[in-house]
Amino acid sequence: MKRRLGLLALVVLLASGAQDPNDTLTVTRKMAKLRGEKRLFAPAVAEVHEGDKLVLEKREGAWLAVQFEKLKGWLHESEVSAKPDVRLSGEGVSETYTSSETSAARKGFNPEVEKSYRTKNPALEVAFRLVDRLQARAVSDDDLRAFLVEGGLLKEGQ
Amino acid sequence: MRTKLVCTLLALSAIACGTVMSTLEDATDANSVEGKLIRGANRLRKSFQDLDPSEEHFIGRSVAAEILALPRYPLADDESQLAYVERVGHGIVATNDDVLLPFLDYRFGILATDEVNAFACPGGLILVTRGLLAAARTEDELAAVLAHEVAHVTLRHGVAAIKQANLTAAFGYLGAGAAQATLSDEDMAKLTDVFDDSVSDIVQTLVTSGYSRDAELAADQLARQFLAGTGYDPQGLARVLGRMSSSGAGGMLATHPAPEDRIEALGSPLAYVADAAATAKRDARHAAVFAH
Repeated sequence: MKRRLGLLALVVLLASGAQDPNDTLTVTRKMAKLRGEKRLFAPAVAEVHEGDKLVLEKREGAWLAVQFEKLKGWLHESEVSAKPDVRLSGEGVSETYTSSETSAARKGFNPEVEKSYRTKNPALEVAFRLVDRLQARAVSDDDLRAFLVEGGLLKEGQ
Repeated sequence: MRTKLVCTLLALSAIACGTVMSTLEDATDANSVEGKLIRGANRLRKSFQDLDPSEEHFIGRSVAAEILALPRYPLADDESQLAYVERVGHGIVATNDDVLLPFLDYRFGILATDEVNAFACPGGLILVTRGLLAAARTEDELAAVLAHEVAHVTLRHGVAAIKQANLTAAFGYLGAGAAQATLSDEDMAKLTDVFDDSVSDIVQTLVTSGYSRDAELAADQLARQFLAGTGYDPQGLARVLGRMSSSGAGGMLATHPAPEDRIEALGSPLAYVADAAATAKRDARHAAVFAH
C-alpha cells in the first residue's frame, strides 16, 4: 500500500511539472493566500488568483517559497502548476492576463462547457443552484482556528 | 528495485521532455507551422492525471448536480449540523500538508436520507448522508468519515473513474482546435457529449458500482494519516466502520468493501495519546449538534 501511495505521489509531482528554483509557476486555484510561513494558518501576505505567475525560490516538503511581483511568501504545492499550458477556467483570472494567453489556457472543461452541458440537461438547473449555494459557503481562518483550539486540536496562537 | 528504477527513468524522461518542449516553445513563433506543431504537442493529454484543477472543479460541479437531482438524495437544510460538519472537514484540510487543495476549496453538504453513504465529487465537494452522520457517534468518528472522503479527493479517485475512451475523445476535441482561439460549435457540441459521458462515468461509480477495493483501502489508510495529523483519534475510523457493518444493506455497504475487511486492512492501530479533557470537549459539542 505504501508503495502505491509513493507511486501516486510521484505521478502527482510529474503532473505538476518540474519545480526548480527560478521556475515560473501558475496559480491554479481560484484564489490562494500567499502565507508568511509554510503552514496553512500562517498570516497571509497577499492573495493570488488563478493565472497569476510566480517565481519559485525553493521547495520545503509540500511548501514552495515563491515571489509574486515584489512580495515573497509560501504556497502549498497543490495551489500551483509548473506546466506552461495549464488550463484555467477564467473565473479567477486577473485582468492583467492577456486575452491570447487566456483563450489558449481556457481550452479545457470550463464554464463554457458547463453552460453547454446545462443547456443540454435543463432538468439539472435546480440541482446546479444547490451546488452554487454549497460552494458559496466558506469558513474563515479565525472561525476555524477557534474551533480547533476549543477542541484541543490546535494550540492557542498557532 | 526494478519498479524504483523504472519510476526514476520515467521521472527523468518526463522532466527532460517538459524542459525541452518548453524551450522549443520559447524558440519558435506561435504563428509558424513549427510553432503550432510544438504547441500542439505540448498540449497532448492522455489520462485523468492530465486534467487540471479547474477542469476537475467543473466536472465535480456537474457530478454533484447529478447526485442532488436524484429524488433519493435531497439536500438537507440544517444550518447547525452543516456548520459543524464544515468545521470538522476544513480542520482536517487545514492541518494536513498531504491534502490536495482543489480549485475552489472543499465544500460540504448533508443529504436528507437515512441511507448510510457519502460522495466525494472531484474538486472537493463532499456530500454526506444523515444516515452516515448518525453512524458517527463522536466528533473523532465524524472526522474519520470526512477524512476518508477528503482522501478520495486527494487521491483523485473521482476523475480516475472516467473511462479512458471518453478522456481520449475529450482531449482530441480540445487538442484539435489548439491553433484557434475558440472551439467551433460542432466541436463544442461533441465536447459537451463527452463531458456528459465523463460525468456519467463518475456518477455511476459513486452511486452504483463503487470504487475498487484498492481505492477504498488507500483512502482508509490516508484518512487515518489525516486524522493523526489533525490530532483526532485515528481509531475513530475503525470504530465507525464497525458500526456501519450492522447498519443493514444498501448505500455504502453495496458500493464499498465489507467494513470487516476494511478494518482488517487498516492493520495495527496508529499510536495515539488521548487528551481526556480535549476529547470530552469534542464529544460535548458533537452531542450538542447531533442528539442521538
